[in-house]
Amino acid sequence: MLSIENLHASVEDGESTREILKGLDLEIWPGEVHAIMGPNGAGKSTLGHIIAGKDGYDVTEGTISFNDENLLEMAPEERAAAGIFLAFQYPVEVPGVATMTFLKAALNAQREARGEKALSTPEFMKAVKTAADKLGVKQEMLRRPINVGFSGGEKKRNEIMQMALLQPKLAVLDETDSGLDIDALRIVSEGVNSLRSPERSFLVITHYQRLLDYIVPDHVHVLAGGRIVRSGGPELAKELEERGYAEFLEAA
Amino acid sequence: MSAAQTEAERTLAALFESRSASFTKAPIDAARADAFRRFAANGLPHRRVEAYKYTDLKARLRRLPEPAGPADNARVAATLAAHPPLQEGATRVLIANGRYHGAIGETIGGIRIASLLGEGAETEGVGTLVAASDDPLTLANVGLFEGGVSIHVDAPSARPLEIVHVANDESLVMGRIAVFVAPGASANVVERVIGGRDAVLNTLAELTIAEGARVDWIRIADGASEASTDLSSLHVRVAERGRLEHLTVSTGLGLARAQAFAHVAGDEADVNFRAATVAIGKRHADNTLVLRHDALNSTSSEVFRSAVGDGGTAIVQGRILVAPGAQKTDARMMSNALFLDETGEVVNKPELEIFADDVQCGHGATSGDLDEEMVFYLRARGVPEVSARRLLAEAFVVEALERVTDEALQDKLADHLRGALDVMGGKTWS
Ligand SMILES: Nc1ncnc2c1ncn2[C@@H]1O[C@H](COP(=O)(O)OP(=O)(O)O)[C@@H](O)[C@H]1O
Ligand SMILES: [Mg+2]
Repeated sequence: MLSIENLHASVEDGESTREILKGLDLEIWPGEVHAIMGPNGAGKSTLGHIIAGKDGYDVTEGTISFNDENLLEMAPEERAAAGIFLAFQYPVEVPGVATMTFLKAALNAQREARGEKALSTPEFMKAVKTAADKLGVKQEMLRRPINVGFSGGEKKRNEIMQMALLQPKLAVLDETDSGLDIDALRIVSEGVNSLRSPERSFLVITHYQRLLDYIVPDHVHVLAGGRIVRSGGPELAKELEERGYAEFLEAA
Repeated sequence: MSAAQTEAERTLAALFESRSASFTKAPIDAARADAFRRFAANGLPHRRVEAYKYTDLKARLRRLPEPAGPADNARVAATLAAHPPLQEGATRVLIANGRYHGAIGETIGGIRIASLLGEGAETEGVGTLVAASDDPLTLANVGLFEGGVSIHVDAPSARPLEIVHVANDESLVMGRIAVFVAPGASANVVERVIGGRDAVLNTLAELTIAEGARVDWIRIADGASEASTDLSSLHVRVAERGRLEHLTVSTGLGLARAQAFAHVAGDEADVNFRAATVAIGKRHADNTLVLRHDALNSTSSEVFRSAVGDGGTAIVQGRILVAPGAQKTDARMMSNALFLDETGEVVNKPELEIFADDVQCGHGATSGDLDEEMVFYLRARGVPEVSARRLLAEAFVVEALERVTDEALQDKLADHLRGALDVMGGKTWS
């Protein structure tokens, strides 16, 4: 489904160029849940942004293919329509655009791009209600401008609600657990787990092991120094929790 | 006038000569000669006059179209029929070619409407708010106006008013309005110009808001053509506990200067100005506000939102004066401009002059492009880039409609602004 080979990416940092990803390899098959863990500043969000198509990163080497398409040549909206979803670490506030208006524009644009019919208003309302109820997102929040005045936890829930509505093929969750209390963490995890299916894959980025008690991954990778330095099963997350990232920082 | 008199100024002088022949002894006419003399002493304001630095009328209006005669009834009726009122059930007050068109001394639902000139004219109190003004557009109108209405609102009125200016194409029109809202009464006014390609309008409005009265006033300046000019000056006085909710919506083509001179004269008054401007292409949209706080415990706020592109220009000048003794004033002004491409021009000129010590005042101004983080957020969810930028630009200007309480009207104005943004077409959005 997603195949990343030897990915090198850098950013302009003032006058100089800084390489953040330094030869990253990752292979995700349909239905798999992969977790990426790593210290702050390792490049986890950078990876998520590059998968989603954000500007400002210079991919100097390597390839990313998604269902045999060259992802790096696609616009962000094309990637979304192809089934890529990024739940942002820091969801953006968008004053003046009602969440409902935005969701309708997003869903129908994706459907149109895939050659599907736009949903009628009642169909759309029903789909939103189902997704919102599942994540405990209140109707009143949907009428408000996107994320404006939402608490940190509400923003994260709003992200997963959007995922439930848009039904992507590959969801990248960037530190969705940060800012969530234990109840919200459970709601969000249930939302994610209920979407797990043999066709849908997840890349769960997290700094802490806690989330992985709820969303049990098939594979765990450690990202440090711009590379995947170790991969393993769920037990690797537990080990990291106990030992920290120190050894990888030295290795990097 | 001086030797440098322009053709436009000569047209105005000649107009004064011909109109003065029919001036009566009524006070409203008596004020004309003095006003016109004061206007003529300096002529049309140019860029060396501070308040007109960015809107040089002497240069922009080298010549003026012919003054319009009385309007043709059939044509006016057709124009009105083609543009229904924006608010359901609104009482229309028609000013055609500057003259009030309506029954003499009409009273509709607690609102008294009369002409400013001619038979049955009601002029008591008219001119009070402009007597001390030295604004050249105001003086020109006071000297030259060809007609207009006085409106008295004496009760909380459920029925909205729509003041419609209709002008012949390529004509010079100077209609005048005076609105008096009695203590405790309320008025809900939409003022708009319909038609008038290549016309030059110089409209004057006086609004008196008595104790505890409330006025919602929306002015729509939608320029009909590149050579159309819509100059308007609102002078408003707000008494104790009075409230004004004002909104200017500026779209279309040509030159527009919307001026407001507001005097917070009574304690605990509350005045709020909003402006939503879309200046695309051959549009020069100027919003100029002078607000004077003269009383205790009063509040004022201004939010100007301007989107410019394809060579359009938006000017925002806001001056807030807090007089000595106007303690506990809370005055806040914000002007935000959005560039839709690299060709628009924006001037933000906020000024605060504070002579009282126990006040809360602030102002801010920003101008910039769309926030790329927001654009990416929408695109990452599948919204195509062009639509994402479009949606964000709409949201930016539409936010200035936040205080419009009539939701149906708010929707219509939002649609109107969206339509104005359509002018960018596909070419610059991407
Ligand atoms: N646009 C940018 N400009 C400059 N430096 C950046 C930019 N984006 C990320 N970085 C830097 O790249 C490194 C990796 O950042 P990030 O991917 O956010 O890390 P993580 O999500 O793993 O904490 C950090 O050192 C960060 O400061
Ligand atoms: Mg991060």
